This record gives sequence, structure tokens and C-alpha cells, in this order.
Amino acid sequence: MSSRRSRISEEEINELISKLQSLVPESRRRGSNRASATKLLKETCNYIKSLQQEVDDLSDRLSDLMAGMDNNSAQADIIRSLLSS
Amino acid sequence: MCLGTSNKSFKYSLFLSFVNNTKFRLLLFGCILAMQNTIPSKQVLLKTFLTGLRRRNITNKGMTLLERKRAIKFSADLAMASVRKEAKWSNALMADLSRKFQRKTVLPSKHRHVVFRGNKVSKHKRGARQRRAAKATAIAKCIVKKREQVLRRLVPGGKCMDECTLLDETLDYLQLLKAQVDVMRSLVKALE
Repeated sequence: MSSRRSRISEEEINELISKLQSLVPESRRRGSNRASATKLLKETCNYIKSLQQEVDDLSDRLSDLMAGMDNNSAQADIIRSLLSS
Repeated sequence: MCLGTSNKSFKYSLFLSFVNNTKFRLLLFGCILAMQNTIPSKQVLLKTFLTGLRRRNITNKGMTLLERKRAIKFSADLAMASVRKEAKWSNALMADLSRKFQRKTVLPSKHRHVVFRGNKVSKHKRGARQRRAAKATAIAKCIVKKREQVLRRLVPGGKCMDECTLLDETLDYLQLLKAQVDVMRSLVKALE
């Protein structure tokens, strides 16, 4: 009975692991499930951190671009139209 | 007005849409042309993001660079959470945002009434609960505790989830985060 339960868990865990692998870049490593699960989690954590940092950087970038809009009238038109419909 | 090479054709279509005084949808279409691997929620994400920026009064010249950046980041987080209202990370993120900026008006009504239930087990049969617990234990064995803690810190609301929910939420959050980054990248590209 308990073996049946753990088998179901194993399948579901493997499914989660493969889904995670497909999302995280450069994580197609071979090896036993346990080893790759640990590495995968490390990759996932790093990837999430880098994505959050990128949102931060892109916010900076967008803020810069919008600040500079007085200089370039075409850009200013785009931004104004973007945000005033 | 020709903007040059075919690489910039999306910029041209974008510009044209404003010159002709067209509606929001054409703008969206122009941005989407620039995005690779468009998934349906990216369009919604972009629209929500831009609506949020408008509400934050982003074109106000009196704003400092830092204020504008925070407003942009706030709109980005809000857009991500709005696209996935059912997810736990989404509710945790919304609660976090409202705490930061103390503006109750920004929350859509659904989120306002949602209570963050944390680790409560659903009222299913005992068998399902036991299976879930067995699964959680099995996952806990695979994962190094330290890694799990880092993940809990990164995913909004991660501190109150069991291991199984944590992985599900991570997957979902990761997808949305990727989509948000793509949306913002395209926007930067369009405005440069």
C-alpha cells in the first residue's frame, strides 16, 4: 500500500521536475533523479534571481527612456500616445 | 516616413499606428510583432502593464528618475499578479504591493476579498490528504533544505507553503516572470 502511494508521488515529482527543466535554461543535465533535482533547484533559484534583477534593470531603463522624451519628439509622441488612450 | 531596414519594420508599424491616431489594439499588435513565442497572456500582460503605468501618471515630468522607476516596477509586479489571480504567489505579491504603497484603490476587487489561507489543507477525503502528505515528504527528501529556503524567499508567499505547493507555485511564477521580462524588453526595444 505504502509503495503504491510513493510510486504515485515519484511520478508526480518527476513530472514537476521535467516541467521545471523545460522552463529553466541550460538545465538539461543527465544523472540520477536526486542529483539533478538538487542542481535543478539551484538553477531555478539562480534563474528566478536573475529574472527579478532584470525586471529591476528594465524598470531603470524604461524610466531613463521616458525621462529623455523631451529631446526626441517622435519618441515623445509614441510615449504620450501609449499612455493617454 | 521610412525608418530604414526590415529589422525596424515593427517600429515603423508602431509609429504609423500613432500617426494615424489608431486605438490601443494596433499598438499592442505592433509590440507583439516584436515578441518571440507569443503566448496569449503576454498580450494581456502588456495591456495591464501599460494601463498600470498610465494610472501611475508616468508621464508626469515632476517625477524623479527613482520615483518613475519604482512606479514602473510596481506596475510590472501588479501586471504579473493580475494575470494569475488564483495563484498563491499572486495573492502574496498583491498583499506585499499594497503594504508597500498603501493604495487600496489599485487592487482589483477580487484580490481585495481574497484571504491568504497559507498552509490550510483542503477539505478533501482523508486518502487525498495522505497522498499529498506522502508526496510532500518524498519531495522534501529530494530537496536540500537550504535550496528550499532560498526558493521560499524568492517566490512571493513561499514561506507559508508546503513543499508540493511550493514547486507548483514556482513553476507558475517562473512562467509569468519570463513573460513579464519579455514584455518589458519589447517595450524598451520599441522606445529606443
